[in-house]
Amino acid sequence: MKHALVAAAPSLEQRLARAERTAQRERAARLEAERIAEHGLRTLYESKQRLQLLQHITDLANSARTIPEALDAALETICERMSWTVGNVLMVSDDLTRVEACDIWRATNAADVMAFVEVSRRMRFSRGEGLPGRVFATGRSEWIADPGHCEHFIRAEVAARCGLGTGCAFPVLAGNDVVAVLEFYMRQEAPEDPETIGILGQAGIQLGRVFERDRAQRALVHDALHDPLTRLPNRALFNDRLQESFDRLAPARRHGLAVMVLDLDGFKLVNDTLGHHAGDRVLVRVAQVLRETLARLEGAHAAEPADWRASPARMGGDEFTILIEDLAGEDLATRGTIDTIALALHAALQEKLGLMNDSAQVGVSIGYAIGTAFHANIDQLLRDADLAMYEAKAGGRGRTIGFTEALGETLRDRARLTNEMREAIETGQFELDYQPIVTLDANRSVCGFEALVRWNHPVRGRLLPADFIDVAESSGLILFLGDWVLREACATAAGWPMRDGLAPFISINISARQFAQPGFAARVRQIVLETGVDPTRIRLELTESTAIVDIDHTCQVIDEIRCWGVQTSLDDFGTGFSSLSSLHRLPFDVLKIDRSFVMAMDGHGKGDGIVRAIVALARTIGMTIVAEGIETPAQADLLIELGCELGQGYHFGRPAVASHAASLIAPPAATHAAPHAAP
Amino acid sequence: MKGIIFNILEEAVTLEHGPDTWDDLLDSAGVDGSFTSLGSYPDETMLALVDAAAGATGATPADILRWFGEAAMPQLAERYGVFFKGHRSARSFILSVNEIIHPEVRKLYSGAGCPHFQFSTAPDGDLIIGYQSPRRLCALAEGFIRGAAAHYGEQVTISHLACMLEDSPVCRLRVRWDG
Repeated sequence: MKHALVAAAPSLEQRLARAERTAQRERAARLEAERIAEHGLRTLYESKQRLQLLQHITDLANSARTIPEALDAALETICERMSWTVGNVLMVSDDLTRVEACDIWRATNAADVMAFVEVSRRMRFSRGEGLPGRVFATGRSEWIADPGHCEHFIRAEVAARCGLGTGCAFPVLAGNDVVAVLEFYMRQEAPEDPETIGILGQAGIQLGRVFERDRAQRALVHDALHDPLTRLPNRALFNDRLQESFDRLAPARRHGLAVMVLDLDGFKLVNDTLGHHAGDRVLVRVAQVLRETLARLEGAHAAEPADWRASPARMGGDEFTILIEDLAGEDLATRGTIDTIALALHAALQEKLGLMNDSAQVGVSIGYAIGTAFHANIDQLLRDADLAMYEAKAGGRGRTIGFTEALGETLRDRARLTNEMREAIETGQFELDYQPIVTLDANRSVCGFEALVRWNHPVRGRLLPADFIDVAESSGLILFLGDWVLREACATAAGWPMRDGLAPFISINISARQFAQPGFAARVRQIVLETGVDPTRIRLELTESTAIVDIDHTCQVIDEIRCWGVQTSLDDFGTGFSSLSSLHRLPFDVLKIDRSFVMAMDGHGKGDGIVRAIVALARTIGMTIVAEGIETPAQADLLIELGCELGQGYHFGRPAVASHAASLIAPPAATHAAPHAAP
Repeated sequence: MKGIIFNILEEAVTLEHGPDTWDDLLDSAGVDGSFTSLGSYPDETMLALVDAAAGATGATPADILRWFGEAAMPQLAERYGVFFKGHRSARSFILSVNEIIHPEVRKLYSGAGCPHFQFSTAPDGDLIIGYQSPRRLCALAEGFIRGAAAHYGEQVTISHLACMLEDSPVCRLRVRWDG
């Protein structure tokens, strides 16, 4: 072999043929090398482009402030870099049943594809319907070849007309949820490309982050502005809305705006007796009733919706508010509208809460205030509504009160009086008068006194209890005042001499709140010890309504103080509930017949009969009787005839200062002295 | 100009006139003739080859370009069949040049100066093609269009409504499909 190869020297022709073969090989190798290089270059270019596209989408997803902004920018980028003719966005509807075009679209050659864009930018697809609906249902990208002639493509006719050759849609995914579908079309017929589908899928995930961010942001804002329990707007949002509405209206037009404050009646009882879970259920139900009732009244779906709008909020605890806007008409008409709303709320709450086992007793007190030019800010408007609500609450359950200037004046007076009273207690502006109580017999001898509080007001002069007791009760100052009265009266009585071997008693009025204080009996004992008064001289007067609040407590306290000789007197009998069964249970020593019964006596009529009945009743259960408000000798005689034992009234003596009272008991002959004029 | 154009030209000349003609052409144009498809070469080299061919055949350079464009199409179809497969007619193939073909060219040859064509349809259905390029190779384009028509078995009539070679700012070609 070796020999043969060496031996044959190639001819020129052979060498030429060889050179041509070599050239052909070289050429073939060059072509192959070029093909390989081209493939590499193309792959490199495409992957670079894809990465750039994805990077771009990631950047814009990070920087976009809103979802539409991000989607619009994404459409532009994808259309431009991937040469799509048309891009269109469909968002998943709030109820998650379909995808809806949202007028975010791009067309690089708008005129040619206008018909397709016009149809597409308004279309809706149910889950599973059409290309976008399928992507929504499966959460997977889909490629459509020749959409103009595809039976699974709903817009085939118009796609054919616009000459679209390829379509593709991919989902925008927030977590596992499809939140939007992006679809793209081009005129060319491009084969399905897994790389493109992959990159669009990635773009969908990046864009989904904009939705996730938006979702989180909205949740944060919503949580910050809503009450988590009832889902109603909270105080912050309510104040914002009120402020906005207030600012929008010129002062002269503020009567178009009103604030309603609702406070639940009996809610504390539910919470205390049934627990907070029951309380929460009530609050949720109330919120629901407010929402439903207001929506119904607004008539959102009615033929003639109301011209006003109302939005409820929960301010905290059991306090709700309603912002009412766009109220038409003048004051009277506006009040009529609001009263109608309030009535409907009362009725709806009664009906709906009545169905709940544990909250049948819950109602609502409503106060409202209508905007005026005098309101300098929303706080004043809110304060007025609050005051009206307190007024409603003070008057009993289930009432509605609208704020008026007169109410404001009354409330301001009351507030002023409260402040003055606080000062009066500190500076000793109160003093006691003593009205004699006499035996209804021939002697008419003074056997005791009722202590009556007076207020030497520095400006208004000497005030009687009727002028200030209400304020003292509502402000709670009655506790301090009552305590002062108890101590002062005991101290005074401690100095009184014996009369005919008997000690004159002192009758002291005790308020309901004072009596309900946990340490009341102990306090009485302490005062007795401190003042040195003979406890048998003390008669504590309780009204019937005070006594029956908690009969067990009443009996317990009376029994306790009776051990030391302190007596108790049932005041104003007959004016309250006058429950005979409770009267029987209450261990009072004395029963006072109210002045209204004494005044009604005429010697032969019904009035006499009532007094006779009360006397008989008191005797039966062994109580001493004191008749109040005796102003004439005739009344005194009649009462003696009916069997009353003791009497009190102008006929026997007006309330007088302590020194005068003392003079009545010092010399025995002084009992018939002329009554001292009370101021 | 990209080396691929020179490669295609070589193939077309060799196929139609034999390998010696190509060598002659290189010699008379004074060009060394080693082109790789991925390389870039001066436009003047192409013009020198076209002028040499014109001088040798007595045709105009435009005629040479028209011939080349038409003769190049089968070579291109062989090398880049994928661009032809997706179309059923020359019209849609031609319309894909801006969006598909030239972007693909740029993928391989970064910085390739591909022209952009403005396509529109005349009321009578003719395709109107606007072309503007400092190279002024409208004749080559015309040849490409003929070649494309031939590839799809179609007959076209091409007329120049305006031409840069006649001092018009742009070229406008009208393409009518016959039959």
